[in-house]
Amino acid sequence: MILKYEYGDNTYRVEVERDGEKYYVTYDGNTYTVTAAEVDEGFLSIDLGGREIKCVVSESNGDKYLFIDGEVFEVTPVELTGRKKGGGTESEKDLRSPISGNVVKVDVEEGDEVEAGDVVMVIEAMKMEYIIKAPWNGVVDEVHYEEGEQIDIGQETVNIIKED
Amino acid sequence: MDVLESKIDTSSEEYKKNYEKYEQLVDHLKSKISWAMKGGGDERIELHKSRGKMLARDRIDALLDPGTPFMEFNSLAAYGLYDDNAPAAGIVTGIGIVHGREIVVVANDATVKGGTYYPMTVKKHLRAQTIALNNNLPCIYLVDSGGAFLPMQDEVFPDREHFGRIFFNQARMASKGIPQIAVVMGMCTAGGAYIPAMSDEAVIVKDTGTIFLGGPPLVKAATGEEVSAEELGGADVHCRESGVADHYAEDDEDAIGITRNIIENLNRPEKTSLEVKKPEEPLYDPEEIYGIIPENPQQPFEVREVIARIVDGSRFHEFKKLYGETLVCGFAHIMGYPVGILANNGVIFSESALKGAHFIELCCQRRIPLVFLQNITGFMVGKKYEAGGIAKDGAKMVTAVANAQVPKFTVMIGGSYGAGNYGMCGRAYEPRQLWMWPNARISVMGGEQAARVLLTVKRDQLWRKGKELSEEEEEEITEPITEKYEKEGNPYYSTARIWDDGVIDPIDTRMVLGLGISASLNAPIPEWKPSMYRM
Repeated sequence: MILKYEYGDNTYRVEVERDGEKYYVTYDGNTYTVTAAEVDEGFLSIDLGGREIKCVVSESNGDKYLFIDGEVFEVTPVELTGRKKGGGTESEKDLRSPISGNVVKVDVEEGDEVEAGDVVMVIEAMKMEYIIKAPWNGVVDEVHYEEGEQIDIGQETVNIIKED
Repeated sequence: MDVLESKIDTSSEEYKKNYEKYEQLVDHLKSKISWAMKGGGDERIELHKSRGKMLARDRIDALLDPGTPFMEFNSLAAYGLYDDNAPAAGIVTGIGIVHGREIVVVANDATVKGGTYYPMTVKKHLRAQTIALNNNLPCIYLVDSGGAFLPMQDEVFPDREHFGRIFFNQARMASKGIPQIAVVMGMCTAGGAYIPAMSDEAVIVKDTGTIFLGGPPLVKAATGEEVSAEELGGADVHCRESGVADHYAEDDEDAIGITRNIIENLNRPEKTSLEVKKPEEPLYDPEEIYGIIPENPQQPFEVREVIARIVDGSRFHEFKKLYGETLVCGFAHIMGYPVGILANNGVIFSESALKGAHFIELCCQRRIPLVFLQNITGFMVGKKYEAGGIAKDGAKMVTAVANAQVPKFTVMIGGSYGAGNYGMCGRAYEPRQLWMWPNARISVMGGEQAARVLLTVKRDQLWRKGKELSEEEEEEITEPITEKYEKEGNPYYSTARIWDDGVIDPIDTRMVLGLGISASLNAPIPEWKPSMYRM
């Protein structure tokens, strides 16, 4: 079982495996053998590799409060979800035509300096205007199409050399 | 579930410009609706009240549980039709809650031409009955109508979906166990007399309520007998002698009270259960949709930004994200109810259509209601795509939509063109409800495309005769077509003709869908029977 908790600004990931009375808890590459007993409601007696820990657990609004040796730790369980993919939006794909259509406008010439977000070309197809924008700051190296030309899906519209 | 991350910059010029423009669209919508809500106007309203009668909307308000929402349908029906003499088509319909359960209300507005039935009044009444039928909801008729609008008898009387259909529906609904209650609060003449006569229970108001097949003038003309309306078909006659009505009400308020008692005793079956969650507001303000929809309808927009502002907690579990990317499919919750969402993010290609068909089947299998966010200019055309079998792949999606047995809901959030309308559950595919945003457009193809197609046809015809068109002549052909499409593709043109259930402010989308799903659960979700696909 994988459990994730937030404590402070960090997220801690632990893997827990049960074998009868024992639990094998893996954290940060190390595995610990743990046994635990609930002495009273919310009151745990834990044996962590020979070290005995007494702990009181209470819950409020989904957060857990652990009272250990006079200290209080507030931890928030984190739901396990898929990992965020990608992140940045800028990609070379942004300069390729998303559709087969007509080039109705070319906004840049070779040698032009462009900023991320600048419109470089407009393609019309299926009643819509597809606007190609510069994904990064840079210099236009090549313009592959002229106004009025047909462009196929997936073809590069212009090439922009990324500014370092 | 994963949370959708918005990439919208609410401080950008583009966003602000779009927002401003959209606010205007919403203002226009609101002013149109408030005009329609006035019904027959101040003079008529005063006259109506002077007779001790409540207004149609006040009657509904009194009928529903206090503080519960009323989801009104087609408040702009007949807008721009009949010289604007029939605001809301003279009838108020919608879903409300009485004693904790959903019901459909159909209320005539007698301030609009005496509540007589124009063609759109008939259509709106029939649509409300269909909603009651599909969702298995009790139907309450608050009757106050002089019957058919006689000058247009040829458009309201003879055909299949005309006046007679109201009673056909009543019988069919009754046979399916759908309770129907008539409350006679005004005239209920000729064919209209069958409304209470065919209901489970009928209430009639003293003095103002009358039921008869032929009114006093007709009786005089036919037999010479002189009789008052009250003597002919008043509450006393029908509650004490004829047995046409069951409950005698002193006035409108009394009648509403009796009707609530009737509804309290309907013993409705339990609703279908779904795995519901605690409702959560989206992380992003739904009003930001105003700034997301481009001012120019020809510019595409990222539909995930819209989804993030409609679903609970902006949580969305996307299906096949990297395949057929122009159709976004995924699971989410709206007002706590699980939904499967299909949303356009470009033209439909073969892959998008296959993905759509697959996803619809998943939802059918899992009994999850479907939500279609339509912004579609069509299925991709061209030699490469035809050869790739776009026609058979599109057919798969259309087949899956048509055969989906789960409740379906469609919102037109942008364009709705051609076969894209079919694959994305347009009106013909019987979504339980279909709503339009004020920026939406609907037509068989774009105006410019239609003009170009027709021009090519014309040119070919002339070419065979050895003639050619001048540039001016070409414009003479194309301009009126483009204009016609622009006019007829407008959401208000659509809603006036009841091609949809209403035009809504995008920020109400969540609520409308939530209420719609809740109402749909009054009907059982039948077993799913998929059909064959052309592979």
